[in-house]
Amino acid sequence: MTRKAYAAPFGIDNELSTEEIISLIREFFSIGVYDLAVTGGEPLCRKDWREIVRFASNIGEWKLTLNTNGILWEEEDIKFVAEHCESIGIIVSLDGYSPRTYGVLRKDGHHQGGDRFFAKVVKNVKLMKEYGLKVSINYTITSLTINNFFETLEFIRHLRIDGFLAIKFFPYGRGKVNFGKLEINYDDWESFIFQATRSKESDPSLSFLGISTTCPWEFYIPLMRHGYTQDDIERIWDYNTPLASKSYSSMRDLGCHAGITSCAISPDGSVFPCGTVSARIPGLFCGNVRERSFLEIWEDSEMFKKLRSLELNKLKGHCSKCQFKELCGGGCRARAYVLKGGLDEVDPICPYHLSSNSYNIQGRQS
Amino acid sequence: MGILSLKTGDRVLRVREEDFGCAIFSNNRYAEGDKMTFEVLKTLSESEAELSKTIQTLSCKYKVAEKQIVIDLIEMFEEFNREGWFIEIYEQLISWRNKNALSEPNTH
Repeated sequence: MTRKAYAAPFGIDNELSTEEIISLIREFFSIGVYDLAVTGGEPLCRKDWREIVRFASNIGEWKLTLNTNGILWEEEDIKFVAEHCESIGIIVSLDGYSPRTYGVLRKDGHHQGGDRFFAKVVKNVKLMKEYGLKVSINYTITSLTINNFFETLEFIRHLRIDGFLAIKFFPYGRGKVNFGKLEINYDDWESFIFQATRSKESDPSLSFLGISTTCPWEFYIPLMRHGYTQDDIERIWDYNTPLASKSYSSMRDLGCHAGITSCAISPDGSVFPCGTVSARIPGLFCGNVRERSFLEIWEDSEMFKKLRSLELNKLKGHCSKCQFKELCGGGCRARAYVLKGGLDEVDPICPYHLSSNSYNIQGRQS
Repeated sequence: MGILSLKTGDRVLRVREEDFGCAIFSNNRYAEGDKMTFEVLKTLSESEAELSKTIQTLSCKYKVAEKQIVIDLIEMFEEFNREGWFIEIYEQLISWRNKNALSEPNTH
């Protein structure tokens, strides 16, 4: 049931060769992967990025995106993509509306502030649009950037981009090291998502605004506490829990779809269940495409089997008794693993887990 | 793992067989269907999108009158139409139904 594969061919030793990546893309397409996101690190650091992206774009119809920091692009790169990769969507990371706000999360290779790249990224986004590319912007919501979000939203309106996605911080890699500094407390998140929902609801021109969270409770709990229903959330955000799908819920009662509808491939060909933890976590290693075909790993890996056999009532904590269990299905398994050390652990930032008293949800259940 | 490709308008839809039925997708849309949906799309693909052949094949296989097959297909393809898929097939089905309704003897 693979819907989405993330390929991160950039940034660590022993990277897959061009031929290996092309072969992997061919396999993805032939087995019916629907959605391929080429990400990093930074894809443009790789010399053969054009060849890879062109191949992926022209192999046939599927959803293809290239995630980039937008810094390394020159006009000839943009022109190349416009001419040879018609169907690709470009997603640029831009976490601020000014050099200062943009530089909050970004450092260059010498640990200097990334603020000096702000103008170039904005220039490249404009140029991409001029060349007719489909361009979206990703904004990582952390405790350091959450207060700049709405001003950034106003700023990027003028760039006429196709999408603006607020991505809730996930504690992985450098994010885990700086967890205490970057993680958003629940009340701030609730306040943010409520404000974003009211803005989007009242302003039709914000149709390009989206929110991405690692698991369903991050949508449902804060918004239902403000009276929104599941239907409201679907209507406003075009978001629904995977558990709303009959086919999905017939197989699984967990909302985490890592290893169910998606997985990630790291630069050296290692397969992981989830794009948010796509490398350097040996405990989540599912196999390597240099040793077995991707399909064999997807179907036979012990790690995938273990993930797929997880059940809500076997998770630690009180998920199986929670009033949100049919919407949330146990929180983020990657976060449980990264922060608590086990796939069956509680999602440590779930407000129900953090609070000894249950929240009183006033929203109408749909 | 069965993958079908079907042309609709100016795009190519891909259909992947699943335990629950099938996943149907283009480069910007994803939908799911049951086992019968996969069976119909598979027959359509094997018939090279020739509708009359598809109707005949399904009629023989399930031992159901062609008229009933068309009624069921119209219902199924209405769903696809909402996604902007198989509009041409849907129109052919409507045309087939109207033509056959007209050719039925008037019993009144």
